[in-house]
Amino acid sequence: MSTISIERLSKSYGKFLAVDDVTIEIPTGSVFGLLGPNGAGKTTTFKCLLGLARATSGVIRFDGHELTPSLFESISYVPERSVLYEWMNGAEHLEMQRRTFKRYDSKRAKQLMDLFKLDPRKSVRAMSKGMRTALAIVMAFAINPETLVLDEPTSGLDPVNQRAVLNLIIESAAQGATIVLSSHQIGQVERAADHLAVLQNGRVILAGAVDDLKSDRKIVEGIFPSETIALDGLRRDSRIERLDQSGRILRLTVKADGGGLAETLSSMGAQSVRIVDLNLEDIFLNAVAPGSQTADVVEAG
Amino acid sequence: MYYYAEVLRGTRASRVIAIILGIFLALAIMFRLWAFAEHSRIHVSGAHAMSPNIPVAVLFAIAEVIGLVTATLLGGVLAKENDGHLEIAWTKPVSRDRLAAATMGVDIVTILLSQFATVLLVLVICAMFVWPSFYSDAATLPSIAITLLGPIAWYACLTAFSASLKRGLGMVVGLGWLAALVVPAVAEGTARSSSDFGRAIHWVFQPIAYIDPIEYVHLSFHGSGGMSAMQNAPLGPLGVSAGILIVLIIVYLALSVLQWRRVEA
Repeated sequence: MSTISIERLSKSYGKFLAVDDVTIEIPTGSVFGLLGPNGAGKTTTFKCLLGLARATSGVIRFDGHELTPSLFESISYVPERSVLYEWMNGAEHLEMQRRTFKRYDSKRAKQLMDLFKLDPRKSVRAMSKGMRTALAIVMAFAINPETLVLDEPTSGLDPVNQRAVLNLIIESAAQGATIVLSSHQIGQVERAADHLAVLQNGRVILAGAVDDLKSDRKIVEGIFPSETIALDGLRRDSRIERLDQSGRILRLTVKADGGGLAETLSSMGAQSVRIVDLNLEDIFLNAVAPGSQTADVVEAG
Repeated sequence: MYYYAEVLRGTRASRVIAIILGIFLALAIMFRLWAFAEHSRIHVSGAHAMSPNIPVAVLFAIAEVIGLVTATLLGGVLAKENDGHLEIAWTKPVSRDRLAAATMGVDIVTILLSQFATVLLVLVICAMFVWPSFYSDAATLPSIAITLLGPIAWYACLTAFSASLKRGLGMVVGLGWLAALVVPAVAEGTARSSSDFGRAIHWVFQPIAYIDPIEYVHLSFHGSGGMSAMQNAPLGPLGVSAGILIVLIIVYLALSVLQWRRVEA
């Protein structure tokens, strides 16, 4: 049984369809990455998932049950932007959690405050964006939740603290927590996530286990002597899902092992050819900007 | 205690009220010391003969002003949550209705405490100068009820008119006070108008005045005879006005919760 099941979720704001018929299964104990360009509908999906926004249509279930307030005893949410009370300090926020959640662990909260070097007496108003994110992370993890919904959880954090958050995510997942995560740091998602879905314009355009998504595609990369490469034949090749040229380098995203395409590039004059596994960034870019693109467009994505 | 944030908010409002009351107390002490030094004849030992008769409800009428200040500070609490904190408020393991009710309950207790603190302060100041003879009559109980209910009704009114807003609470509070004072005055002023325009204005403003809590909190005192009927009370007797305030509180609080249910983060 899936911990979280989202079936045919749609959410519109007036005429704007923010989430369009999204169906996602998030297995128990998994780290689920929700990726997508800005405005793809990730935050709206999270809000509908947690009942913070009313779905226009669709059903959301947690272990087969509809979301009820009591379920929040074991669910933590870290929103994309700071929602902390500016007039309260760190200690007061933690006290609020302690008084609200039975699962609150004071010792763990103290450890996490130390980990992020947060001063509990400091007012949120005086905190930087990174400190606010860190405090939200501390509040979320201090209740030892079974389900964590993290929307850009490393936003504003320095690399050291980003790594600390990632470790917390991996550690919680190892202890059985289900984690739903969105981030623009694809490398982080790649390190933590075992399942993912890619949203674009409110629709799921790719979903599945990360290993499966990686295994059925390869990158065939060739370096040519000049930037003038005859691509016409390649554009018509059905094995090629995506074609990127960056100067003298040609990268082909191909289905399965791309058999024969390495030889094709060699015959086209490539000085060197190699076949590499896809990383998550390749999968993401391939999903949101499929087909032939220039390197500049790909980098901007 | 899922309403801890509101307890903190109430504590902060109480600090503001404590400062205001503290200033009054400091002024009273300074005046008393000055009076003691300059006019020793005002000494308490000689004051008993001059002790005035004051209806006990006057204490609460003074406290009502502070209650209205507290209500204004705390009013629109749900709009404050709407302004960027719903992700915290609505991911607590408690229903929205219960959270809203508890939050508003904390505020109402804070308003009442501020009023009782003011009554205490007035008694302290009385003890410093001249201890009056407090008396009560048939009007006392409904009058005290009005003074206690009025600020709560005003708080509920501000909360109801802002519960679905994410921003603009300050405007609601500012315009709310303006409307609360102007509307009954216009309704009253045009009540006996002979012109069609005046009657039309009255026809528009009078219903609004009926749902304005401030309309019901005016009290007047006649000489030393104590408290009499209310000024500007559109429905007459004190008990009826107290009843209307109770109805307004219930309706406004219910409207607040109903609106808040439908807000989205």
